[in-house]
Amino acid sequence: MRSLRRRLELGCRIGAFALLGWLIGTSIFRAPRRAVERASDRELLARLPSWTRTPSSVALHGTLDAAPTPVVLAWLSALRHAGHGVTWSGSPPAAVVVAEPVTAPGGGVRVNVAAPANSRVTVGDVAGTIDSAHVAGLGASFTLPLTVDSLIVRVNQQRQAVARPNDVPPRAVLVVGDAGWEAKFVAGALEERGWKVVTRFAVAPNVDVRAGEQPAIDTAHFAAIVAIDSTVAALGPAVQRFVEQGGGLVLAGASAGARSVSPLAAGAVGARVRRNVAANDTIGLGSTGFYPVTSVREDAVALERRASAVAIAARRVCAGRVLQVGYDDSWRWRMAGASGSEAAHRDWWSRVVSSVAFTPALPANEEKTFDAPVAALFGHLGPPRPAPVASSGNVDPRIPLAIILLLLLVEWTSRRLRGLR
Amino acid sequence: MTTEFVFATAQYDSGDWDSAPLLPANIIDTIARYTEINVAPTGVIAPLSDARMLRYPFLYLTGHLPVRFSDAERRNVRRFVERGGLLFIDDHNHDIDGVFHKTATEEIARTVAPLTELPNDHALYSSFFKFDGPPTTSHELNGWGDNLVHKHLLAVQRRGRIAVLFSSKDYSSEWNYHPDSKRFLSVDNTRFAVNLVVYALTA
Amino acid sequence: MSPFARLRTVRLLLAAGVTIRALAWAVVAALTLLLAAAAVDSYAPLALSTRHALQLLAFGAGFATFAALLWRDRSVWTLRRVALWLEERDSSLAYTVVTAVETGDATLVRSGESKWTRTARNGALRAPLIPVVATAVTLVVLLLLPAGAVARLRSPHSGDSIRGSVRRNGSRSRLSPLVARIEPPAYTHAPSSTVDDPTEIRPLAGSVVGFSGRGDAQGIVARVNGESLAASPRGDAWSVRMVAGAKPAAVRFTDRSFERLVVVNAVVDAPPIVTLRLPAKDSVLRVATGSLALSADATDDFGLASAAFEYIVSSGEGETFKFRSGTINGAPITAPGATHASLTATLPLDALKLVPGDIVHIRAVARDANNVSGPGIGTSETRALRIARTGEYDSLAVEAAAPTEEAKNVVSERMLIMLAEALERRRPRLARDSVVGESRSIAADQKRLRRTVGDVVFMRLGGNQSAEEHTDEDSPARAKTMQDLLARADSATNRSTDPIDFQGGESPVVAVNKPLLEAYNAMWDASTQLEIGEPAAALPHMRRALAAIEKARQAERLYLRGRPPQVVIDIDKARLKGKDKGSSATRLPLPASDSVTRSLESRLVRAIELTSRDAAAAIDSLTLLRIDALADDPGFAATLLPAIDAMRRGRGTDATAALARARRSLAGAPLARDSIARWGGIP
Repeated sequence: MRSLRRRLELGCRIGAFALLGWLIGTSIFRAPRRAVERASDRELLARLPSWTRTPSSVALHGTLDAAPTPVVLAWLSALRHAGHGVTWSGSPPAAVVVAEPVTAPGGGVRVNVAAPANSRVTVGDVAGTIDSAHVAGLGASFTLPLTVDSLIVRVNQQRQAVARPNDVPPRAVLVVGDAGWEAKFVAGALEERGWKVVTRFAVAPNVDVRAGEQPAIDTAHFAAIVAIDSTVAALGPAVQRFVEQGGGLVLAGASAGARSVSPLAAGAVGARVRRNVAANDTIGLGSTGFYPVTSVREDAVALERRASAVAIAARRVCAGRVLQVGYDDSWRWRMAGASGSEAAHRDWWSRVVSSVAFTPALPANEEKTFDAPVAALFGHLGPPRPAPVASSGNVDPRIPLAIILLLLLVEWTSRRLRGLR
Repeated sequence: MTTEFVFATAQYDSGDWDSAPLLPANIIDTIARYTEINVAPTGVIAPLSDARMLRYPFLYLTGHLPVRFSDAERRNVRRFVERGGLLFIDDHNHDIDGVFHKTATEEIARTVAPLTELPNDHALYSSFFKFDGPPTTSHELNGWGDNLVHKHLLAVQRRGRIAVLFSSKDYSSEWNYHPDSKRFLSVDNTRFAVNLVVYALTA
Repeated sequence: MSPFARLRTVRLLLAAGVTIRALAWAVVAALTLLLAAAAVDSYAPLALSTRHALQLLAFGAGFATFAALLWRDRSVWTLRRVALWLEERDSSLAYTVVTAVETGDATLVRSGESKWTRTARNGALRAPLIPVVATAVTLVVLLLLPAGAVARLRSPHSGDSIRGSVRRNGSRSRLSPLVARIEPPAYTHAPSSTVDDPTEIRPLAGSVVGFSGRGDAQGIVARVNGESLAASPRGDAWSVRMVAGAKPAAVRFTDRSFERLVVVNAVVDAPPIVTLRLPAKDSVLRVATGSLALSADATDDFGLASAAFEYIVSSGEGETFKFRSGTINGAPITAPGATHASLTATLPLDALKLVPGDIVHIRAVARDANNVSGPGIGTSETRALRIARTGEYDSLAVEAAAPTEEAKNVVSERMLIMLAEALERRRPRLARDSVVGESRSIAADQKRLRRTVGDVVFMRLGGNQSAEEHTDEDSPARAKTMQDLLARADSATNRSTDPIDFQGGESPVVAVNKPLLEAYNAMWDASTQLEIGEPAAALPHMRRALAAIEKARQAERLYLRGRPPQVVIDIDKARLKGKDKGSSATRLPLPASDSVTRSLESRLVRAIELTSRDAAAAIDSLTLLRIDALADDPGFAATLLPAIDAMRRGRGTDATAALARARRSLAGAPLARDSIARWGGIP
């Protein structure tokens, strides 16, 4: 029977040889190392080339305060498909940018940015920053009269780019009303601004002053109808058909009360509001008086209020848009307003018509005019996940070596104490 | 109902601007007779030196005496024209060699631009009634003035629109009578005024 | 001469020598600096300001050298040092001179005095020898420098950038350096000016502008406003001359593959500004006597040629006016190029023979000396001086007057004629009694009208209306009375009173009142026929009466002295009552007022797109855009200049900000909202 001592010596010997064998085995057959590469959104582009050369066992993780650019995202997606574990974490602002053309002569671009509240949104183009806004609600909106090449939007630190949409040359505008100053100056303002205007001014029974060509009232010929007064009733049901097709209708003054258009209006026409204007007051749009929009329909939107009355309201009717503008004396603003009132009157009326003007469907643009980078991030890399923990496949060889030596020492010491060699 | 058309007579400092006091009522009556234009029943007087003259985009100016604008009048007239107003000037002397004609044309050239002949096929002459040119008045050959039948009116045009219209045909005398007297006329001699107003309101 | 006296002479000679040496070295220092600068300038042309600075530096260096050397050799003024100097050159003196100077004992000097002056003279002549030679060498080297190089340093001034050596290196551009010489029109009496390396010049319209550069003229072309101007040789330089027009223009120089753009943005000569000081305001005079003081100031940007007062006297009222005009010269403007003048004069009211109701319009007029685009004429405001009418100051207010009798009578007689004609047309259908009744009714109106006419004539001729009885039997007598009155009134004016003859030559009294008398008689005949129920027979008399009244009305156009009451039209009653109908008309569209702006916008966008690809081309595009915008949109043109300057200096950030401002100026500010608009576009 072996003594306990001899068993101990045998055990140390076996253990030492076993560990030695394990060391030799792991050096020949290396277990995979579980490494993780990390980078922030600012470092990503610089690190990607080196990441591409790492073995696919290496996990890649981005800590993102801003959504990566399309190039970076595509690269990460490619690495993922190549076998890398690609994950991300962080809270980039969920922002969407849409650029659309302004339907008006001279064009322009409207950029709507959906962004979290309190974000700082800056819009520019290749020539530099154009404007910025601090988001109070759901986003920000910019109307840019002149842009160069593509548009660049920053939401906090996140950079997004969209292509500049092609201009949409608008169709003609039909201005209908009794011969009077408002009709004359509205038509004049639109023409001066570059709109093609077709007029129909009633002067006497069966006598009117009109533009030479009077095409059919449809969206192939007209972008919008501006009704100065109830004379629009003479157009009959053509107006409703036009709006339902997608055409725009501006009901100025008390024209919304005309029978053929009242079903389209945003509300009823109230008693005219007259501001108290002293003899020497400067005439502004508000001081010219207006017909308030009363009983605003449920689906209508009140766009402008003066005192406690709604001066401008809008609603959609099928594919078209109707704007009820209570002002009927805006010409006074142009003629007797402060310096610059002529240009202001012209621009205001252009914007009014532009807001309802029919816009034909555009051919598909090769370059995209919208950008939703966070959605794309989710689509390519999935939702955010915590960063994987790095682990190395091999134990530090010094430890088993030390154990082997210890075991051999214990065995030798025991044998020597027994008097053996 | 649209805003009323108000017939405004221009008042200027240097001359007898009110030499045709019955003309406004006569023209108002004429407009009501032939059109459905919403017209105010009385005219107003618009001092050119007051910026409130801009509230009347159609102004009628006449007289016999020299026309010399003050700085304020000149400033307002310039603004009036630039914003789209129409200034109708009629020489009550109907004398192209007279001081009204000479001084008024000089002031207009200085304030706006030089006056040039308006072609007789201009849209003004067919804006309501059809005329072959400016209608002759019964005063052109009355022995006073230059005793000429002026075949053309003069005008300053801005962006294709008449901004200043100048007449040497003495419409001020021709139209300066009580509107009740129209019933004795076989042909209403104020019809051209309808063309003027319709043109101003629609062009 | 005592030894000390001789010593003092030696001292003077030595001091002179030292001074000349210091001066010579100063010259050498200055010339050396100029030489170095000229050498550098001949390879890399120095800016005008740098050359001015170098000039000052050379002068300063020379002065500093002079001062330093004088300071160093100041001991020459001490006799002890002079004595030591002599001792150094003559050992035989054995320090006796120094000892003598120190002790003050001249007797210690025993010999050698006679040689001192000669020695000193030799020493003084030798001292400046080296610096003088150095000066000569420097001058020779300066002469060897390329022509013009020294002049550019010696007397730098505007326009000398093209002076200096002409490099024979054919690959370099001859468009740089460039000099523009502006010669204003002679009438301005302004001096010529020169601009070195211009990118934009602002000459007065009509100035002759000459551009010059180094090198021969062959192959250099300038294009402006579609015209090509070939360069002409001027010595070893080339030159192009043009006249600055009133509108901004871009001059594009071409030298082989090199191009250069210069903007010529002419300043237009403004007309004079004239202010009328006296009379200070419009006024009304009761009596037109005495003289009126006139005073005015005139200013002009370049020079006044003449100034005077103009007046127009309007006499008359209603529609009858007469006008007289004249000029009163203030003090003549004799000083050429005078930009300010004060005029004073007096207007003698007596000489104008003014009568009540006359109006005198006065203004001051000045002309400038512009003989390029015609004299500019400036006028002052006009003052009106009115002579009060008789009775104007009466307390009786003039009420609005009714239409004149003639006007009323014309209307009334026309009405009666129409009624009579209407009766005559209905006569076949009416009973005789009815016809007579209606006819008598018309007759009654005719009588009333006749009386009115008669009253008018009577009053005019000074008769007493109330003294006459208004009966039919009296009417012929009344007419005869009026005839007599007419004759008496006419004789008072020494004219023919033949009542039959209306053919010309009639006096105003006859011309007005004779027709009324005729009308009166015709009305009497008409009434008679109407009374017996014969409207057809009455009509010719009635028409004769109408014609006579018309003639009287034409002879004297009487106008109201007061304002008539305002006529208020009953619109509803008058609405569409006209017999004639109008016809529809065509309205022509208005041209777009901002078509020019659109064009400028698209050009601006293209120029901005160029900045990343070709900065020089972008600068040229923006420069040309600015020139075109100067006339149509000067505000926008002004915003482009900082952007162009920043791009030329290579300051990208400044250029970006400046271009952003230019965009806003042209296309308007963008509209930003802190929320997504519920409905696009409404402010």
